[in-house]
Amino acid sequence: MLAQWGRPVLRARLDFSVGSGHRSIVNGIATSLEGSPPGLTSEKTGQELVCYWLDRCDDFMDQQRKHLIEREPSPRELAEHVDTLKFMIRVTLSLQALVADPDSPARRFARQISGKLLQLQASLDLLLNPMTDADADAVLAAAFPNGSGARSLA
Amino acid sequence: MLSWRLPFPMDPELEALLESYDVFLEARGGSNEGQLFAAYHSRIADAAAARRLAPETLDAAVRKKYPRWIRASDHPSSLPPKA
Repeated sequence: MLAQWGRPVLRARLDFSVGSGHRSIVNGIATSLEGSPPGLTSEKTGQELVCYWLDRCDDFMDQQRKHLIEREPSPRELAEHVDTLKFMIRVTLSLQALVADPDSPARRFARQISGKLLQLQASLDLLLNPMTDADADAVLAAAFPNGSGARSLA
Repeated sequence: MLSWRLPFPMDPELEALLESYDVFLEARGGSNEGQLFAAYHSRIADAAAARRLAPETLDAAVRKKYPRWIRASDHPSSLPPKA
């Protein structure tokens, strides 16, 4: 999995250097770990890792909204985004397994990680939905005769 | 509530399904996503049962409609401007 960090598409889509949350976490680590007992250090690091990743997922969802939902993406943009999305899902699944450990210091974040994973997986379902627009319109027109937001064929 | 300007009429129940899906996808922070996802699927199950449709079919149709519904709206991006 780590080998994928070097792929050009991921470098382009996952800019880990931006985001105020990331900077504050890095600064927090730099200032707070000095002189901390080992247990507290690992606990803080684990929690900050989870917070950092949740921030990145939110940034990713914001970009998805702006570039793939609010406007029609090109086939290449869609393919690159889906590739990155699958990577995000894999990392979040790994993090979910990590915090599920009974001894994990970040166990209290299990709910947030599960919620974010649901959102990422739903995004993949949304973007790879095999139903055609015409089929969707037909289903919705039959189910909602008062209006499906599509042009009527009548 | 956002102001939608669709070229063709939309059933309020369908619009509520799309809004429910949008609220789930737009949630941030991780705290409420699970509940919002369950709420959306509960609405889909109720709407599908009332119409004798498979929930999976209605869900797929709503999800397929969702980007077009967003693009047909006249609201700006919810993203804050970058500094």
